Amino acid sequence: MHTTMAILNQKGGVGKTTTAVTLGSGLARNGYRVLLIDLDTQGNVADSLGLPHSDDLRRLLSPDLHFPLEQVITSSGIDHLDVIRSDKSTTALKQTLAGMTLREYILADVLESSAHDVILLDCAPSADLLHFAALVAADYLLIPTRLDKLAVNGVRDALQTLAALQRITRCQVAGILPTFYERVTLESHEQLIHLAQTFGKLVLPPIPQDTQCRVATRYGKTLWDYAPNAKALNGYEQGNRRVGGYLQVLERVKEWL
Amino acid sequence: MNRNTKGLTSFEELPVVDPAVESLLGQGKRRQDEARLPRTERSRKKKERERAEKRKPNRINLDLPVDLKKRLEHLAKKEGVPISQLVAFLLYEPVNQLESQAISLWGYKTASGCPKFECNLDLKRRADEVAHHDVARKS
Repeated sequence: MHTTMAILNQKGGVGKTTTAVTLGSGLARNGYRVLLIDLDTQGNVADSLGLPHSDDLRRLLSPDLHFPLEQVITSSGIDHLDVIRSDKSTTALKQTLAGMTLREYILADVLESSAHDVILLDCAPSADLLHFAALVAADYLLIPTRLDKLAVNGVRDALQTLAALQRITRCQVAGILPTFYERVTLESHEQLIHLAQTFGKLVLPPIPQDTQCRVATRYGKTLWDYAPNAKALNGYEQGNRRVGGYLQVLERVKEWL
Repeated sequence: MNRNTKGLTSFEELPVVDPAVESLLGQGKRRQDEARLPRTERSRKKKERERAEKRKPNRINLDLPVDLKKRLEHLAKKEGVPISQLVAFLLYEPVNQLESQAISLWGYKTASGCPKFECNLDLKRRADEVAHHDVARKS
């Protein structure tokens, strides 16, 4: 029995792929068998893991191809972490799926046979068909958001989309993950307070703004491998402890599994 | 969102939040408060904070009798070990004995004038007794 988590925000550039790759590889390092599925036509999951782009997703979901799950899964090169990659062919896939009946269930159906412990769905920054299919397939929704007004609006949109699908999904909001947090800027601080006042305990420890995330992506490595001491992983030093960062978020995520 | 006169959000009205988020917000609030202080006061606060952050949670300050301190320093130097580790090494046995009530502080307690503590310990008596006990054992 696997747990499926959709990582979604309709606003782009909020750290969805970085979050999916970092949490996926982090869980894999903790012994969980993880499947990371890229639902974005940009295929950035493959870039982040140093893999070539491929039409894995189209081969899995296209009604005329319909490859079995095990034939489209690629090993990421990291123990316990498998991926289903995406590329430009996903655009054509979406057009093909648009004419199908019960298309919102397509991901939930194909993932039923998965032998993984955790499935992470890295969604595209748009409210499209795969976006809805991800919410129907998911048990939990994780919404990364930059700490600025437009991205925080994206959180509201994601929640509205989930509410609209309430009748056909069991998906629950697991958390809202503030990314690109800068503790010295007033705007970051204000937006974090705003999020905390609105969503309370759903707001997860923020991820500090860290250039190492971009550099790691350039080298096709995960943060755990490229920069294990990165601020984005370990959080801010506060006295004798660390606050925020993916390491702390990973501990929260493990509680949901 | 409530805003105070400086245009900053009120921290007091937060619902229950993740402890890490609360901690970061608390730090942000402190920074904002400090930013409004005069420069000298701000720098004093900063130094105080840095000193507090450097303090290790397992560190305590002890007032030792001068002669005991000298003996410990001498022993630590002779053995080539840090004095704090030497003290920790020597403390394990009597702490166990006190916990298991094999030894007692009875007879060493004297009334304390300080409102924080009920009693003081007569360390001179303890030093004399230990010295006397050692002499008796050797002879």
